[in-house]
Amino acid sequence: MNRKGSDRLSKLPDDILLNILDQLHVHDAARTSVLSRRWRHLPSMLSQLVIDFVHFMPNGASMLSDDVLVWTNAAVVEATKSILELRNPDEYTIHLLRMLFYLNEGDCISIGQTVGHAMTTQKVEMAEFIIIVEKLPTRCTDDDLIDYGRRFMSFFDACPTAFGGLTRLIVGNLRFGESDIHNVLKTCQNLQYLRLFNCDSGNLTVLQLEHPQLNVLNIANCRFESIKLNCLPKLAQLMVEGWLSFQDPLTFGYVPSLEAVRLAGVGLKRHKLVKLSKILGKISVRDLRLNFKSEKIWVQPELPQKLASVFYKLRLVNLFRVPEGCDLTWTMFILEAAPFLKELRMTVWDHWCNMEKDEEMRASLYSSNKSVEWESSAEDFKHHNLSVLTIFCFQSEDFLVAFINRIMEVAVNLEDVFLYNMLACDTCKDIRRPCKFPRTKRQRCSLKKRINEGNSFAKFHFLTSVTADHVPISEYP
Amino acid sequence: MAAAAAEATIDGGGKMIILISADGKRFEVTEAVASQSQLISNMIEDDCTENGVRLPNVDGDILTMVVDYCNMHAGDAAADGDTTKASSTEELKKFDAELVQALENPVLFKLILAANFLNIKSLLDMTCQRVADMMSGKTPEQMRETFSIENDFTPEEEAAIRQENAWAFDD
Repeated sequence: MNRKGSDRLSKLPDDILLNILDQLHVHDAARTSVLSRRWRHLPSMLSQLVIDFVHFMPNGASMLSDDVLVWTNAAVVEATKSILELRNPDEYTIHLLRMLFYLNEGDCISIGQTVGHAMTTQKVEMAEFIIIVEKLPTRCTDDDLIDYGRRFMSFFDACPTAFGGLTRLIVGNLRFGESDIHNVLKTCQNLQYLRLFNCDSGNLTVLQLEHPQLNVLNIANCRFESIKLNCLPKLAQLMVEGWLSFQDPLTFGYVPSLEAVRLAGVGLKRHKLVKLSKILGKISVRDLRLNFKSEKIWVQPELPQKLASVFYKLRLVNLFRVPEGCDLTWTMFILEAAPFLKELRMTVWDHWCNMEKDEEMRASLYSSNKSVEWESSAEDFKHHNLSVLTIFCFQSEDFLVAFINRIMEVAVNLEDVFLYNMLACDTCKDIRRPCKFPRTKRQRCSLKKRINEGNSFAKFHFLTSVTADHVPISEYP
Repeated sequence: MAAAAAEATIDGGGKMIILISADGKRFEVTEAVASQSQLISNMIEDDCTENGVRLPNVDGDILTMVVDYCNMHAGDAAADGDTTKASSTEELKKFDAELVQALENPVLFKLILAANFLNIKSLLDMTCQRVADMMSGKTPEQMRETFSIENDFTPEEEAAIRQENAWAFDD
């Protein structure tokens, strides 16, 4: 047989060819229908459809020009119609339909109605809308927010079927009317994931949330006076970012499934420290992540008695973007208040790309001392359950060595210490100081000498890249 | 490199299994290595690997590659911390990239079929990704040429299908 000339690809079974097509952009996948009879119907059997406006932009186009937006969105509409309408109703399930498009009225409604029609005639398991506006959040004026909010609501009103079937919704830069969010959640009855960013309802209002299915809620840089999670029986993960300037921003009602809370914010001079006993109140979670965005530690260390009910289920604490060089003694309050903690994970990183660099601005708004005070009440305190300490962006610096020493002293059953090298960021790589991660055997030995191992049996692991096998939190009992 | 990984795993203990290719070549591997194949893992569970596992669909040269791949990846799972772990992750990436880049058409498809038959998901996904990369951004004519696909449409039929998917043929 002439090996070179024979078409082995087309002889592969359908499921393998579909696996291949799943990994192509929709354009390339659609083009294969013209290859030969064998390929004719394969694209309409795909189970994953990702229609992303970025893939439809003309080459070299600037995102911000109006012409490009109109042209690109029109192309998305045409592709959506063609792809969804060419499928045989009810024959092949769509496991995932992910749509990314610009919020401009006419096109959105066409997309919404096409998707809505597909939902009634075909099996669609997961449907996601990621809706984008022309301007970046920082450039949106009040008028923009009002305009986008109005566009979104008329899109929503015109497409109840599509929104009714959505499982994930990501929207931002919208100013809602008073009862809009309530109405959206009521219609989106299948929603499992909701992310709102840079949204508000005009003057500081209270965001009240109730939903039977919502599993993950992510609220970033929204301007609500407070967020009341009235009744979210399936909510497992909550992320709130940039809420710090308000008093008591969170109220927890009925959230029996809540396992993980992530809080992120930049601590400015004028901000009061946040008391976790107050902010988390009566809930207790297994997984807590606090993101300090490389600025001042904004959490107020508290006595174990205050935090006992909030922390008793805690298994993993992740302190993210802790400022470099800041004394870490304060972290001990977490260990003292969380007796069942299994892993303490920390990323010590001044991520330059995302920080305010203007000197004057820094002097007026940001604290120069980024740490917080904490003095342990129990001098001979020991922790019996902590088994893993993980530090990302580890550098051989005194404050980190002192911190590891303290943990080794306290955590009598510590088993593993994972020390990771810097996280990669392509943008700020150039301006980084020389890396002080111990790479060679000699450097590692000299580091270990500085660490007082005492009676600890903990094993040190030096890792240069994040590996997939690093125990995910879900595996903790 | 692969041989070293294999030795390390053998040192680590575990029962050995014989895999027999279509052309009668025999490969001795540990259960841990072999059970990355869901098919063989199921056979181990059912206790029917005693007299060797015959793989009538897989040629010896392809099975060599599969065994190399599995040895390499089992080494990853077994490595314990410290320096070995980090280097093995990087080595592994390099090994995978080299393996897949080196594949020419006929061998690539044989390997895909073997991964599919043996049910080794990571190898199947990786090899399918390689084919997808070879198709990505190409016109139908270029795809046909790359894979020797014969166009069995009449010009009219082809024009009609292009019309249906006009949006995908714009550029």
